[in-house]
Amino acid sequence: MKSAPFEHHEPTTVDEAVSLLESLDDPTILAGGQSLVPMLRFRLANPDVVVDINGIDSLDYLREEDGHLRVGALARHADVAESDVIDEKYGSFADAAPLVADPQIRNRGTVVGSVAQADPKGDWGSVLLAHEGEVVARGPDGERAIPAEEFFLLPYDTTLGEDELITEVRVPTPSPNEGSAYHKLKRKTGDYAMAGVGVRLTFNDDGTIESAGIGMTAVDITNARATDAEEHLEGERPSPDLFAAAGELAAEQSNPESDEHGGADYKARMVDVLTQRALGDAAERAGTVTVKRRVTQ
Amino acid sequence: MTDEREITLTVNGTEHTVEVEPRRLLVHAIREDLDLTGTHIGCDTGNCGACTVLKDGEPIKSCLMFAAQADGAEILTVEGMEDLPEADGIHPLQEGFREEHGLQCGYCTPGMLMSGKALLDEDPDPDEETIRDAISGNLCRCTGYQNIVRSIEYAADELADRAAADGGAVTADGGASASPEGGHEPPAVGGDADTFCGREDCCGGPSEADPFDREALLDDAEGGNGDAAVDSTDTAVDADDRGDSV
Amino acid sequence: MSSEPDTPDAETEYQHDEDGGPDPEKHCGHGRGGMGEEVTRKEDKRFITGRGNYVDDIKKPGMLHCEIVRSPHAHARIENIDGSRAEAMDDVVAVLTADDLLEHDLATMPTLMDDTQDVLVNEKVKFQSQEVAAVIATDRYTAKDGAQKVEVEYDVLDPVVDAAEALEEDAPLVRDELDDQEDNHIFDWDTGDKEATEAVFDEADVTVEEDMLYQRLHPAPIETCGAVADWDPGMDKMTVHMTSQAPHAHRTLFSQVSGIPEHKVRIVSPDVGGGFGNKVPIYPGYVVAAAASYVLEQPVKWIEERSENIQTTGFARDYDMTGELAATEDGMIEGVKVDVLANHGAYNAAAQPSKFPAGFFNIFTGSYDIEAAYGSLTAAFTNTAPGGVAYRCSFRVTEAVYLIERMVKVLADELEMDPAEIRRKNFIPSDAFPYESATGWNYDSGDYEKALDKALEMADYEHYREEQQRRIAEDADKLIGIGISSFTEVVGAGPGKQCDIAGIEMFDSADLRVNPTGNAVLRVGVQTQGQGHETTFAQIVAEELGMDVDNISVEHGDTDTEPYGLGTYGSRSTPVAGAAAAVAARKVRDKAKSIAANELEAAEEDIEWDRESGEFHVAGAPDRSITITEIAAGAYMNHPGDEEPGLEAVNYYDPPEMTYPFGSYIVIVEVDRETGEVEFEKFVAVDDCGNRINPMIIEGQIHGGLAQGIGTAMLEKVTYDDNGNVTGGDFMNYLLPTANEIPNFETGHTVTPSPHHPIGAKGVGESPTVGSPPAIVNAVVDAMSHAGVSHVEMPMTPDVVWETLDDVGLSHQPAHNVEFDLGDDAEPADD
Repeated sequence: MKSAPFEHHEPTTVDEAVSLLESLDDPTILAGGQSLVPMLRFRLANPDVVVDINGIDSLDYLREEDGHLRVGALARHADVAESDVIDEKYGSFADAAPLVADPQIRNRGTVVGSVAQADPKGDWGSVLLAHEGEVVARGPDGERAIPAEEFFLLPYDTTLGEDELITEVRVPTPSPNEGSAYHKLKRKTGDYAMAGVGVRLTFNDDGTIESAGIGMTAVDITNARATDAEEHLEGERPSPDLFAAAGELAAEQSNPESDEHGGADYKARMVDVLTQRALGDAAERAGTVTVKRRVTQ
Repeated sequence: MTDEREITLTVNGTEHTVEVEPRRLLVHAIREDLDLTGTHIGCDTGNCGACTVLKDGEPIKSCLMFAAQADGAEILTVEGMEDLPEADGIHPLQEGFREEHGLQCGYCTPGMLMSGKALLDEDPDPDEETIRDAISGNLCRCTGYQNIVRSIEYAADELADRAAADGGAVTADGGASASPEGGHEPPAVGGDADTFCGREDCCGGPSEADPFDREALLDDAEGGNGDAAVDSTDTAVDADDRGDSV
Repeated sequence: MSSEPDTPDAETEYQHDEDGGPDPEKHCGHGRGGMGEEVTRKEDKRFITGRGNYVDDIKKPGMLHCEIVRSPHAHARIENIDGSRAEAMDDVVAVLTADDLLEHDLATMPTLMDDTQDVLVNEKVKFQSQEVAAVIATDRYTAKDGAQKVEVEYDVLDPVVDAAEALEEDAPLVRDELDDQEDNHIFDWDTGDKEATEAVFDEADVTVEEDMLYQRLHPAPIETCGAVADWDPGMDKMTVHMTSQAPHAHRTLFSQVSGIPEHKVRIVSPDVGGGFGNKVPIYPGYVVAAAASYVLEQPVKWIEERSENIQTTGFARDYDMTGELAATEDGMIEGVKVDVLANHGAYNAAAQPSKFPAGFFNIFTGSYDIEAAYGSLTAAFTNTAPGGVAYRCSFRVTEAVYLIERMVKVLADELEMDPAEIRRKNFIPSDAFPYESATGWNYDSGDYEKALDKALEMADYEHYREEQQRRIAEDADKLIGIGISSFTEVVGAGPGKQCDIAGIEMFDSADLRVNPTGNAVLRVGVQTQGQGHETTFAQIVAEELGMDVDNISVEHGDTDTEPYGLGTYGSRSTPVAGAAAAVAARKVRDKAKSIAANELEAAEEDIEWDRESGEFHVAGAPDRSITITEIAAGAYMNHPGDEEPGLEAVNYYDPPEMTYPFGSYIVIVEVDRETGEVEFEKFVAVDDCGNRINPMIIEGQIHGGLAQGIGTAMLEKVTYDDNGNVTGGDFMNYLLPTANEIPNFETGHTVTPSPHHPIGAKGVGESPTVGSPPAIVNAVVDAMSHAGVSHVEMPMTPDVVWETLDDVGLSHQPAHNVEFDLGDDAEPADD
């Protein structure tokens, strides 16, 4: 498979990139390229102009700063998987990163690129939704932060402007009473999710849930929030029954379609299962509960 | 800018200048412009990993990247393995794949070797699960992976042995010789396995006439690769410059 | 030449120890790399150093590239093809359509089942991605650009993709160009004694029946198909380097299709990156490349993309089967019936010996002594890619083994018997060989119980049965399932009286020359795609001639230099070409004997061959000895007056019978009741392939085939939507297992030599692919059979398993077995 010809622009600063996006006719942004390059090779995408942002060194970062975890547009999945700060405090990111594709793809593919791609089967959108994160974009009129919830419109379609470049995604730094997790079901390594669920639980000092965030993968036209389940959890004390009820609500709110990754009913049931599992992990990571199995296996 | 542009690729320590169209995949530049055909192509979706090379020390799929994006990069392909400082003529991974029968048709092998190399650079003593995950972006249709895992374990042990023999830091497992998992497991459970010969742990070592002895292979490798220095100390400098040393 | 070779006598020449391994006294210790030694592979060096030479590595001066324009529709009439925009491009050299090929009489090609397939579509597209036109350009990228510019007008027709629907009266007609074809029915076939079988079923205590689909698979070698065709107008010769598992047969077919005399066609199969049956047929791409080279008088390369490979080249299986067993109430199987609906795609292009339209499917009595058997099959055309190749199996044996091994489990569950016991009860007894089955196969040798016993012991069977019961009793979240398959294969096609491909009998060949300096070259008619022939065939010669394996080269894959053979598939290389190599070596040894007599100055009748030392010596005077290496010079420099000079022999081996490798596999799985995920807890494979040439290579073959079996059972399926669009047509959607999905295997073996094979070997490469899928499905079913589950369809992805769990009330919610410990004061810990 061979791409059609295109013009290749390699800006080295965000300003340069933004002005290219503004001046060029229908440009396509190339970051990690792990989804885009196959589309180019199949000629499913035939852009005349490609703006390759890999040379913008200032976007290659992953750090905690100003009350946020900030993931720059050139941070690769592998950077997340290998980060100590992620390992320590961001359970959902630590869970999700090694579940993305395979090692080589994690070395090239970027978190921001995955979010920008807006594939409902992508993992990072759900993590962002669970954490009530933001997508930071730069355009000709300057920078704006788009709440994750307002970012995804349709499969492969977002509220990003045509002349805007995502410079980072960010989530608030967790409080000490917070835990998060991401669970994903897939048929094999390298396959997209049959279903995935990211959760964040923030606890009050009395052990009740202050707030919950739940993002779902591959079960709607975009990554989607399970708001009913979130509301049901708030103010409550964790218990298997509570989490089961939340799982049920998330499943009800999901809207999966039957496809090669499984039937719609199955996916909805798995939203339930994965939500319960992820809630258990998040609660454990927050130091609130210890999950015990009644019998071996 | 659909016109060709000049890029510089340092492949296996040698700098090359090539003219490429922006759309030219790195794998095509490597295979067709530089005639390094050891790197293969097995799919069009980035799933198979036959095209895996190390770019600046990291394994990537060279069919999911344009050559122009690798301008200025250091690339390692299978053809460069024999010249690596740890190779001692033939790289322990290559030796491992042969000794542990880690290949059959050979098509996925170069990519597997690259993923194995990247893993051992990061983690010199990986457990089986880590190895399996490290090669999970490389499809093999022949081997069932078990012997590839053994091959990488063999290389890890061999590298540890060499480090110990060089008086260098001994690895966590003491640089011991073949671990139970890493060693050749006899194919039979019935108790007759140790009657097979041709293996050191089978029936008392290779016979005098063992045609597969490493020295012979080294000699051949030298002859077949005119400018490849076999003395590891000569190549160490080059390899260090490449930034992909251990 | 010299007298007839030794009579093959495996029993006396290759003795075995109690446990069935090669006798160390005979086979080990001489260190020459003969039979039974774990010789590391001779071919490895080039592969581990990046020096392999696959088709796409070939570069010729002036070489052009071919890109094929393919139909986006599954069923459509072509109204017009306009290649002018492509032809106008600077670096596009030619655009070829069916009209261009018609001029050269190359528009169609025969399939292996004597159907006729369009090379480029002449009038009507019959499956998605069918070849419509070809663009030849100076480089790959431009060829692709050109292909995008070829404008094709289609009149889209309703497709039919399902075989049952294809046989309905109002179904769209796939093959309306055939005068006598008024529906989509291709053929009916049956086997066995219908009346006798019905009678057994009528009177049986118990009968069971199960429907099962062996889904459409693709062999998917990691290297796709490709060719570099090079017409030499000076020599009037066509050389085609191509991904071929059968270069000689392909040369004969190429010659027939092109009209170029066979001696002016050279097919070279260089290093091949896996075949598994995919590279047995001829595909349009090869023919187009050759036609383009002929027309343009320049070398033309065609390399298939992965999606093209999966969407258009030979698929495997796609048998929709109903199996029935009749048995006594104590579990003696009396009869088996099977009915199959086979989807053959748009052309009848299955790869079978021509007298076997359903391949060797009638081996479906398996390892069991069953009195009555009857099978029937109907094959249908559909608007899907043509195929039905033997994907790592011997001609539909995989489907047959799946059927019988699944049915035995169904019967065991019906009778509430242990599935190991019911097998033991019904095995063909070891003293009943040679054994003729109810469908007419002559099994050469077997000891099925021994293999099963060994597998049960290795698997710790009783322990897992107890663990299984404990989990059920405690309502645990993960269920244990134990699956068994005690399969018998039929391989080594085959006797010329039974087996031919396109009329050519399925013999194979070896040509062995010992050079004056004492080393040897063996040329064989089969071809390796990773099986290690360069090593194992050298080991056969090393064993027979007492030579060091390092001094023997094996050459294959070039029709200009190799003897004629039918190629490598159906586990036939060792049974057929391996036999040829052994017999050729024995012929050389016979001739060497007369030279030895000359050199040792003794009468020929006093010369004895000592296999142990690999030498001739004079009877009664062991110190007067000479090796064949030493004799070689004499053959060229001092040959006996009554002999021809030289030391060389050829053998074309027509096997007297097939060989019947067998084994028992035991798979233990854990099934997650919350998600339907299946994990392998233990995977035991005991194989018996007769005498073993290289245990290391055998083990490698077993591992690889088991992994493919897991792919089959758990992940792989080529799927179509109702419009005939391939929905599983690339590696994103056709799921090959990675290292993370494959467990470690525990392999064991028994040795029951083939009595009729010169070295007692049977062939092994395909046993694991054939034997493992039913073991895996049986294991997953076994985890749920206490709740009444009798079958789960492949591929058993988590959704399929979970839906089965849920149907029988076995699914669990995470809360089911979970308790939360909230700690002393339910305060969150400081982090």
